[in-house]
Amino acid sequence: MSMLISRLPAATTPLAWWRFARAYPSATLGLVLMLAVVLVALVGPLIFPGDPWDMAGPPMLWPGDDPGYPLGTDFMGRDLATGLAAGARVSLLIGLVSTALAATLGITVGAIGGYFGGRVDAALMRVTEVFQTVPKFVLAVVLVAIFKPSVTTVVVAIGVVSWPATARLVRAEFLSLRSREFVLAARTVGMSHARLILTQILPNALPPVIAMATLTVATAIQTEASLAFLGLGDPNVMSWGTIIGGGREQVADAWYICGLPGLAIVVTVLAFNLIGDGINDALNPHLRQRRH
Amino acid sequence: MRHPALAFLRQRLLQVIPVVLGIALMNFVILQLAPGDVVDVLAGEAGAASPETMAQLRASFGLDQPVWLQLVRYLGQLATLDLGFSYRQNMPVLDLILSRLPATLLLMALAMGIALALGVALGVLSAVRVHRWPDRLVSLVTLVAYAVPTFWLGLMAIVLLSARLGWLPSGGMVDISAGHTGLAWAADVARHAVLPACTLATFYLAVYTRLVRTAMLELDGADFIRTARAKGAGEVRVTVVHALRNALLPLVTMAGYQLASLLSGAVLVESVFSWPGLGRLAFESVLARDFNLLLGILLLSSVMVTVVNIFVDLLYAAIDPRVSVTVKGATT
Repeated sequence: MSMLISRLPAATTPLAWWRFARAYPSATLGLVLMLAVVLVALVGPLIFPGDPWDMAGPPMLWPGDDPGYPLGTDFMGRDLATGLAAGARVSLLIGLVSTALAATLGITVGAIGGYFGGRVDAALMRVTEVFQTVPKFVLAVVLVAIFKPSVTTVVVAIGVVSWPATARLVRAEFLSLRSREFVLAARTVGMSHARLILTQILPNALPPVIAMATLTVATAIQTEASLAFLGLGDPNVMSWGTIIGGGREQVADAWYICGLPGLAIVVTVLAFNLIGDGINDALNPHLRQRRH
Repeated sequence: MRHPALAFLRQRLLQVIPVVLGIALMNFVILQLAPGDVVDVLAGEAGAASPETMAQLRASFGLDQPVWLQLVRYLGQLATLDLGFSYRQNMPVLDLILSRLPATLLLMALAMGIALALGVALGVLSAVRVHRWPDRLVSLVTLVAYAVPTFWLGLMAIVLLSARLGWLPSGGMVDISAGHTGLAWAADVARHAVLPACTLATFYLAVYTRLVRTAMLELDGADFIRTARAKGAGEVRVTVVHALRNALLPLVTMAGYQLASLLSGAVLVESVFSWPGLGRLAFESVLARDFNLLLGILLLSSVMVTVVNIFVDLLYAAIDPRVSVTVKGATT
């Protein structure tokens, strides 16, 4: 991690970028793909303006049939390019916010459990176990269905089902860090529990958490798409999963309606997976060497 | 009767009780927090139950009583396996779920079998040819398999293999109009199962391939492997008998604990392929806003996960003595 980070800002010249790309080829591919998706999310709606729900042209136009609709239209005549650009924003937003929620929950539970240990830890671990036992997607479906589909409920539902892995990771890090000398030294100085947790242990526990959070974003984006596919997306928001869910009845005749947003999901998820793996690799250089 | 396996089982069951209670509590909290009162949620939104039934339900739930008493009642009902009634499907929730369970179990078992068999094969291939083209190809495939959404893969498989090529049926579990019996029926189910099982297996296939590859590579420098080579064992024997057997250990653990996630995947795959299992039932209950049924599915599938986890632990404990001997031999 420190290697990866310390090299990133240094990589301002083309040559330095080339070296970085040679050292971390898959992470570089991930970064490039992610930049592409972010670019689509930022600029796309400017190039393809308008409401993605509006009937923009003749229905069932194949990609390339009409230059006015480069990616075609769906069975309601909605422009797919507009929909895909809008979907990029939704996917990134929901993926990042729900991961932030999951990370906050996971870090809080894991830090408290790992730091204090004993009964508090045992109780928190039981709660974690419950959430790990329940089929995650089924729980997300139940939450969104009962509390009415909206961006907020989708974000909360994904956050609620995604935190246990982070909690376990943070707990393990805290368990191994809490009796280290620098922590004992800080405790001798008379630091409060909160300060010890926040300023001494947490910063040292964070690198693997960041790697896991990157992978969590990928899962969150997939979960959001799956929910929207089942009709559990925000009814006012055009997401990639919504487009696929809408096009599934015509999938045999017009596979591109489902195909294109699916490819967008694959690229986005792949980007986050590659970056997450790259961070993990950089964190365990000795594992890296052994593989080579 | 102090058989070690029984003692282990008892200890595990004691550990599981708080988890099952926790799951029930979670269901109760969701019911309490839901918009409208519990009976609104249970009866389904669009007034599937008559006003009289609603009033009767309100009385039976004791909504005028304190929350803790409601909780006790709720837990009492669950303890007697009373999951309530689905007014949409006009059937007790438990009966509905049990009638759909076999299809889901079949799908999950098939998917798990495919993922394990192919995952082990690809993982070994990858490890044996490490950093050469078969390994790179396998790595690329697993990378993409990780990123592909299950439901989308299913749709694309339908387009290609069912709509275009016409090789396989696109949905359902049997061709009802054909009226098959006996072996023909089983063959028909198998034909219908190919696409959903393979779709569900893809992600786990990627997971197991990676796991086996890493485990095999980590064992590569182990002393017992070198000893096996030194005593003249062939490369195939070293790979399959010595390395693979040890590489399978993390696989057993992983596969056991992925059951919950497999169930989640089944929801999506079943709704794509109209496979008449629990997942399809969950999808139908979402469409019909039949929340009581949905909560019943959540509860029962979670309990099922805990039960199967106990069996996986038992299995692991059963092979553990032999296992720990070989592992010790590997490290010392």
